[in-house]
Amino acid sequence: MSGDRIAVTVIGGYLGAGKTTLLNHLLATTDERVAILVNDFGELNIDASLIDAAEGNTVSLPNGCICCSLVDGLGAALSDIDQLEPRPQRLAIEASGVADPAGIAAFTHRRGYRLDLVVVMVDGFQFAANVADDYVGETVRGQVAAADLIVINKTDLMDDAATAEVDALLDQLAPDAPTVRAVNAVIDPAVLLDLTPRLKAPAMDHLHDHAIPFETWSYEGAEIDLGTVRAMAEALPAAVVRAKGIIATPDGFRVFQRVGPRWTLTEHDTLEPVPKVSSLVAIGLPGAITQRWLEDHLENSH
Amino acid sequence: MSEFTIYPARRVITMNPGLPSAEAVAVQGDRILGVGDLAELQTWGDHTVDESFRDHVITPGFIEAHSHSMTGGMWTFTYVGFFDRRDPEGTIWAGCKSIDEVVARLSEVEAAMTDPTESLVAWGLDPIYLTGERLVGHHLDAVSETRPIFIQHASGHLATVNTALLAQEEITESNPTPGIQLGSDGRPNGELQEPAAMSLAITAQQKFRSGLTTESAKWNFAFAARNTGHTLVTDLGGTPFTDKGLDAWKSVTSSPSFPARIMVAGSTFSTPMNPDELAQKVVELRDNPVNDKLKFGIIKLLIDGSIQGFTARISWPYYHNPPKGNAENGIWVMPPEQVVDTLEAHHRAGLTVHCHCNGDQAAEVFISAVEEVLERHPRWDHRHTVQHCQLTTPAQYARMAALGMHANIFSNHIFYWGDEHAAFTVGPERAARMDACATADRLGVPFSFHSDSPITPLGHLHVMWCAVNRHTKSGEVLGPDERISVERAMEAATIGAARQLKLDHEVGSIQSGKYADFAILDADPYEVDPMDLKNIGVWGTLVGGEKFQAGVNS
Repeated sequence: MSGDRIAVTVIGGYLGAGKTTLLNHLLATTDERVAILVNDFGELNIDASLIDAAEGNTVSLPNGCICCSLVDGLGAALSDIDQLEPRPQRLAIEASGVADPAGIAAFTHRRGYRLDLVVVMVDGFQFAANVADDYVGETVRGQVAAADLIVINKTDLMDDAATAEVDALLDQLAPDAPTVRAVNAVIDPAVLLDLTPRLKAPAMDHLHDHAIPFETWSYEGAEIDLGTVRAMAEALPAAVVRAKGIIATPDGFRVFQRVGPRWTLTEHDTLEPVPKVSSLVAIGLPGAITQRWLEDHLENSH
Repeated sequence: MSEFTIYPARRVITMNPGLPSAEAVAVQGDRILGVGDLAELQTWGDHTVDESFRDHVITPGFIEAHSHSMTGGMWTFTYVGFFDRRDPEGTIWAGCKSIDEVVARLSEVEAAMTDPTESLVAWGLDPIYLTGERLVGHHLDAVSETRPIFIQHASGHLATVNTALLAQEEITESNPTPGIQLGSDGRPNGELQEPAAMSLAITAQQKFRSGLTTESAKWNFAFAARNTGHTLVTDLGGTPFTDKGLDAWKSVTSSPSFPARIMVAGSTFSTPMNPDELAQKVVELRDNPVNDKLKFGIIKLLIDGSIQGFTARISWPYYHNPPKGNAENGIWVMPPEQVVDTLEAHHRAGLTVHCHCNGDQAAEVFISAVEEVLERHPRWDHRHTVQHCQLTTPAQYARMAALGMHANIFSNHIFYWGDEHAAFTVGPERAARMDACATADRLGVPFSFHSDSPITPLGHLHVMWCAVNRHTKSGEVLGPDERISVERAMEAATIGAARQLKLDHEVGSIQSGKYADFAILDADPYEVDPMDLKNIGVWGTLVGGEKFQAGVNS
């Protein structure tokens, strides 16, 4: 196994919800090496201007991204992408409009990969009709139930009644998933990417005018014991989409990572042992927690 | 007139209603010169009489319009199934009746392997037939503690691996993938359920996948066709239409000893192209044949899943008795709204679209799409085909007839899963009208039927037996009113399939001018007890006038 695990972003949602638009935003804002996986090139509508070269079942994009199709199945595609040189840091999977994002995410707990975020796009204008549809209702309901983050797109086409209807449906179908609103699938891309502790929290000044801002919180302090970190991890509300920290513990440094409902605490022995400083950043819906909340949960419980 | 050969037979069944039965057939080169009695055929001039089939029955070669070439690739790997099974070379592999027998066969293969790191891959395991404890990873450790071992089960949905493989792929109890079965000690016991968990066996899966698409897999597919009397088989989706994927087919079919014709379907599910590009490629291949054995011109689409997997899209009242926690209805493999656009691209290019629709709701989407596309782009004789067509209703068959569509019906399901369909999937009433060949016939829809090999074993005599008798595994007759006559079944297996593939001007019946493609049978399908149809012996085939004897590989 070579190097770090490839972080997997799954982008789900029904036809026309804005999956490709979101993907394009991700590609335009990240400086990571990203591989893209699409269900089939028949559905591929990445800006033609972005396509550099096409060969076999891959398309190269000029920013170094590579785009692969799922023709041999997801397992085979993940094996192929793991062999790419240079190796991607992130894999964005654009699910087919009828795919179950949870089913795709189930493939990512393998050598060379880690599941990062399952984001499900909702066409705000069509969602209620899709949910009620005899053909695709069950599919669409399953998609939002699998989300770590739901983006309600096309909110410019929704009146108050439609907004209330979609909110009520999502409360019922995906009560735990944080929800943001967007026009043209524009959201703060920081929420789609890994956080970097020990650096400033992601700057907001690169955002488009329409972007919905997330709130970020950061903490820096002294040594923390593992029990305290675990208790904080369990207490973080779902509206905090991501958190990442490097925690100085009495037993050495640990990396704390939380995306959606998943969190891990792993050893990190490559860091310098001094100074014994713990740091943590988090991003989520405005008001999900406060700076004070972090301090309380990381300092006062022992 | 130059030399030709006359084959007298016990009977020549032509499937040409204008001359249904004859004494002999004359072959010149790769074509049928004539069919009739010996005296008539001799008037053509210099000839030899070949008496090889004097005691056999000659029929048009069977045509399987829904199969997959990976049928041949399975035999790259070790068979450990419960039932005796004949490989494409004709060797019978005895079923493994116990865990010890599975371990013994694998040990034998393991001992012959030279590279100590290579995975040992096997298939066909069905643990429910093995008495005593369930076969798990530690049994396989007796075969090797160091070489990774991967066994795919008969269902295709499960795998069992040894401890060395678990270690190689870092599969531990802390892995959250659904389907990793744990033993009583809380550690993975080697059983991996469903594709996500099975895909964790990365190296073994890569070996398995590549073995299914080799040239030897393609040869084995043709050998299996020959052994069962088929002269034309389809690869209905699965071949990528890339240079590499197509060159492999061109290479094998250009050999004079390749014993079958093959129709390869294009599919955007296996080819990274958009529908317009793919359609253009298929037209180009169809119009520029590289030899007489390799055929193009059809497109495969998929709309839903399978009925036995509760993933087919069916209409209200949905599934009868599904497993707890199952979704109400099945899954869409492509968005229903996208079917029209995709179909339109292929329809306008002049191709025939074969669309996988197991459930009636999926069939409804496809039939409606055909109707919409025909309104926009009227086109005669498209022959778009509903594939599987398992729950298609009489109302849908009537629309199909009006729209000029064909049906390819999955009759083997009646035997393999009919009992389960009545008890669990769709309930007794709908099960009785599944795979409704008689309804298709009554309502005027041209039809064929299929094995979907390797989903069920390749063999039209067995499919005919199913369509004629409708016996399930338990011996029940499921839907007696949907049984068809032997004549209709013979048509479906030959000329009906040829029409569906738009090759009926070349194959599918025995008549002057067509390819000399025959099945050579030991008994007359019209004379045997219909329950014995599946037991009729097959000597082999003639393809383009060349004899290919079952079980004899050149």
